[in-house]
Amino acid sequence: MLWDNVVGHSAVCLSLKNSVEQDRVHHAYLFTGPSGVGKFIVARTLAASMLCPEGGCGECNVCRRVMQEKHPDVRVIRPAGKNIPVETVREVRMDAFMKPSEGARKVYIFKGAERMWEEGASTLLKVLEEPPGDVVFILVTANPAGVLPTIRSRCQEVSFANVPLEQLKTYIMERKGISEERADLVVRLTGGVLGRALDWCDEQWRLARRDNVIKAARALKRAELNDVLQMASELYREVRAPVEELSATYQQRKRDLEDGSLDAGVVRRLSKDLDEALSRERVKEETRGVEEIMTTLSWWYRDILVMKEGGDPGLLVNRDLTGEIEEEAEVIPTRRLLDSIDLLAGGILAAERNVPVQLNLESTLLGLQEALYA
Amino acid sequence: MNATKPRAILHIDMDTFFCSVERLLDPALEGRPVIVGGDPSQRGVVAACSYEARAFGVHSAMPLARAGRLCPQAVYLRGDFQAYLYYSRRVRDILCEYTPTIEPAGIDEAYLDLTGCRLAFGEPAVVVREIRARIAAELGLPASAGLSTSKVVSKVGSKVAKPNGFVEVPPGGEAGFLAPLPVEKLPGVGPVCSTTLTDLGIRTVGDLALLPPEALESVLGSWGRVLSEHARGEDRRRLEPGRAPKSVSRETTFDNDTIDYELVRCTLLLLAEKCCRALRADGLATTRIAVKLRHSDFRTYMKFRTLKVPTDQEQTVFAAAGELFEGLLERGVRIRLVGVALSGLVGAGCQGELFEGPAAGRSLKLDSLNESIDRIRERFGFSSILRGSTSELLPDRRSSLRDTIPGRLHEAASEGSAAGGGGAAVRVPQPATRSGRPPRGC
Amino acid sequence: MIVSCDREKLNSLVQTALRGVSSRVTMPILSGLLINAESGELVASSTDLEMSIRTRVEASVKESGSTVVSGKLLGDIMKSLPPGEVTVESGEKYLVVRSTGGEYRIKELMPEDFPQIPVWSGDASFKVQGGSFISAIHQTSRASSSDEKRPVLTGSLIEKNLESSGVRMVATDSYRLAWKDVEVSGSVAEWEDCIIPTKTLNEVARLAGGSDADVETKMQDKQAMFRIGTMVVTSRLIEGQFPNYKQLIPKGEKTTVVLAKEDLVAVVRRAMIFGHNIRFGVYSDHLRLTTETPEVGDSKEEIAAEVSGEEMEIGFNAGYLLDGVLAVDTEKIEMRFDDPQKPALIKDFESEEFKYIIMPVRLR
Repeated sequence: MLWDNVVGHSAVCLSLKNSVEQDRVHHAYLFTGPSGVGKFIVARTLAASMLCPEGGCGECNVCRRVMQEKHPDVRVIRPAGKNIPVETVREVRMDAFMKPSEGARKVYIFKGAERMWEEGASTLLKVLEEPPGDVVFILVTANPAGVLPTIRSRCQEVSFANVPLEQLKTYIMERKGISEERADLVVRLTGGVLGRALDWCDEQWRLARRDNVIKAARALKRAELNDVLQMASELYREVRAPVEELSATYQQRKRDLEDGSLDAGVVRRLSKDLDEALSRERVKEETRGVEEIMTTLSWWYRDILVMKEGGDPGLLVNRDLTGEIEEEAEVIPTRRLLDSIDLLAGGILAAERNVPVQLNLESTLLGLQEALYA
Repeated sequence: MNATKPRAILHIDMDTFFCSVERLLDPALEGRPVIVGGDPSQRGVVAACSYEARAFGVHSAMPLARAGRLCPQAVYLRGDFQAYLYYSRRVRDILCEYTPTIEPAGIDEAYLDLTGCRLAFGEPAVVVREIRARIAAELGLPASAGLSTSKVVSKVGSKVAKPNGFVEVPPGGEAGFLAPLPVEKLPGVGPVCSTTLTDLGIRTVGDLALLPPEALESVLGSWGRVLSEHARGEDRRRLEPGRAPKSVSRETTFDNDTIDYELVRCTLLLLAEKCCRALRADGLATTRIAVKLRHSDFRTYMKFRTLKVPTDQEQTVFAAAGELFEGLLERGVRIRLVGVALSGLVGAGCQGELFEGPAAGRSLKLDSLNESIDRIRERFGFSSILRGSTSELLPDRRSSLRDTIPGRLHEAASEGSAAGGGGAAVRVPQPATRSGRPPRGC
Repeated sequence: MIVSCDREKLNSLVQTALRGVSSRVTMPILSGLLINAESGELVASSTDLEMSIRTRVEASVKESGSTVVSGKLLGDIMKSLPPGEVTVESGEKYLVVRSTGGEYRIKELMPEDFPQIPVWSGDASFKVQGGSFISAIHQTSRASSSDEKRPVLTGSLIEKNLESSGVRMVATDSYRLAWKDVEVSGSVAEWEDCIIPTKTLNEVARLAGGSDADVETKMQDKQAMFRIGTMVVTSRLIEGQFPNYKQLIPKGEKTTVVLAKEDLVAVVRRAMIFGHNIRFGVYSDHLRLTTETPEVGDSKEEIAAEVSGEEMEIGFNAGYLLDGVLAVDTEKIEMRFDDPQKPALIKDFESEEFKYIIMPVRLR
């Protein structure tokens, strides 16, 4: 069963599963929770369980196509560029008024559902107000406050919490075949967000990057202005590297398209879609990179704070660096640690607001130097 | 402009236009007080009244209820804007036969430059008599006329000539003609301005002409200097003939670049309203709507939409403009300017809808709503009636509500020859009471 | 899968199925044709999710099976092959097309990814003579809306008419409405009134054009199906309530006009040059059509007509008027008016089968 493949969220899954089995499916859901926690997987699972004759067996062609986003009655809508354009919402509205192609129901999954301007949102609202029969909307968002309250009030809200650390740890140990120690570290560093934890397992460089970031932080004490700027640009390179990698992946996917099975016009269209997706992903990856660096630093200073205040060493995130944490705890005063954590929160906010990456890194590092050692 | 011969500018003004047309349609109204605007039992104001009604103290812009008490025996009419527009066009048809240089100044008045028509039609004064005679004979409507070397003197002339008269001010006689008249006769001098002047001991235009321009400027701002020139009969403004517009556009630059999308949206509504009002005044409808957006870094974008059914309704234009705007938006980027341009202009008409229901008849209802609003604005100016969401945007309205807040908008209007064609931008000065703009109600 | 078939037949099979491939691809698989070979038949299917086409041809099937390949590539190669027998064989990754001397390989897509296409089973609900079905679509479809804000109006209503035991096709965009009664053979009792995307109906008319074969129709799995010879077109239905149109029919209490259709068409076409809206004046023995675009130009033309009832003036959107007049199927056209603000009727002369109701324009 597909439901069994979902990690964590057992209460949520059970209630959704029951509502499908008892034919009490709501016509609109709002899935909320941190990004990477598993909302979208649950959304697809819910869709499959509604369309599959076996309630989501995971084996049949229906389930397969739903999970691979190839089923005609399950449409996934994503922001194009930064937003979901009103044209797309209108197409959905039009499509919603058509009876399903194959099954008994049609499902529309909106990823980033808060990313709609007024016209798009009000078009969606109109459909939600008078939903055609057989249609289920699943709005997925990490930022429910950004969703129009009138839309929210018409949806059954399902909130997703982070998967309990222990459960997540066991899962990635099994799935990725890694040691408990390592799994523990990854789980702590990613705050229990499943998607990110898996990424950290697959992408070794993320851990290496953490090491570099902490090394840079520790070097701040004796760094001249030029050194700090140098550090910032090295960190900037760290952020850029995965972005470049992403570009390479997309280039490969574009080449794969041209394997001859598709007509040239279709290939053009799809590679244009890929280009758009890439430019979207690049921005996302860049922002994420900065956020991760800032978060790494926040955890670092928080660990020092925990150590300084005589906290339980079991609470440390960077457990593998206990020695280093102890050293720092000796020298940095509490007040300064608190200031630094505040400063980093500002850096994350700046990243979300598209402040140029290098500028953001430079000003954060200089700020930290002043806050900690001035 | 002819350098040797003085200019001959005619201002022609239809006498109590709405009432005269009503009398034409119903001769039984002849000689009776007529008030256009609605029933005195209704809320509303007098849009126009005949001389018979004025004798009872009724005047334009007075609440209908008050008019009802002053002159209960008057005939009260709702008004037929279609008919007014029709006769206005017929008058214009006649004027067009004499000169191409016509500047329409509302539904019932226009300026004509007759300087060049001496050869073809004879002396300007003769032409004016002929025009008035033809309007009377062919349409049965009374018109007053003022003829002089400038717009302002001719305008005052036609005012003095009323009812149904003609005043000619010969070249050189401008200042002498204006001097004995009370200052209120000058265009642009309304109650507020007039009070200010009276406080300075100025009662006649002659008093005003004697005052040094600098002194007037210090009291009234840049408007003071212009007023001072006008008082001496100096006015070199040329006529701005209305051309057949190929497009109508309005745009606005924000005082400060903004990310307040609600403000931008309201501004779009205001611009849509202004464009549509211009369309309706010309009896046109649009089939192509464009929105222009300039970001703070001066990147400028435009998006178009073509309509199947032509429209002259701001509601439809705004609905499309709102969506186009959404397509142009970049989250987090400040906006410097927005504009609305309507092109693909065709003759107007309101397409009805077949079905009953919440949406049915909406179009026709909006049609008559817009018509009423136009009628009010025709008389009392654009900002005399505003939508809730746009009422905060207009500089003059804002400053009358809150004295100290500077206007937020600079406005530029253009009627270019291509969609979005810039045209010369006219910066409307602001705010009203402090600077050169004549206060409303003048 | 190994199948052989005559090139001519194979080509026409593929070209027909290609009509169902939309250029607006949302899923790559939809740019493909699904090819099935089974029990002496080769079947080609396509879908754009709104409409699907399934068409078949007799062929010698040596090995049954199915595959999906790019519709355009297959179509292009079929078009250019020389006459004679063609063999089609699907292997691991490629569909191999063999003709005299030539061998062409087309990369395959996964047939499992192809959306399910309903297969016609059982008998038709009713049958319509091809020509009259096509002309009914032509006469009504132009009144249909393309505004996706009102999905219902982008479709045409096909409802059973128990009195005449026929069906009625109705389309409207809320500014005008066209309907046509169509005679059918067989019972309409089982037919469920439904709204079919007008786009699909136009496609059905195109596919049925040329041949005068009957069109068989039925409702199956909540989809409408049309069978024309060896081909089946399936359409998804639009949900919702079609507006109640019956109360709209003008009675013609005030004025009735009869005149030659061709004459009116010519006059309207000329008038349209000078404006979107036509002032349509009805006088004792003639019509006067005027248009104007302020400051640009105007037109005025009179045309003789048999008029009974009051004289009147009414405004029409020129395009909507022309659509209605063109759709009339008789040499003479009949128009009826109640009031300049109320819907007017355009219809076949002395026949009640076709009606076109047009809402006037209020002129300024």
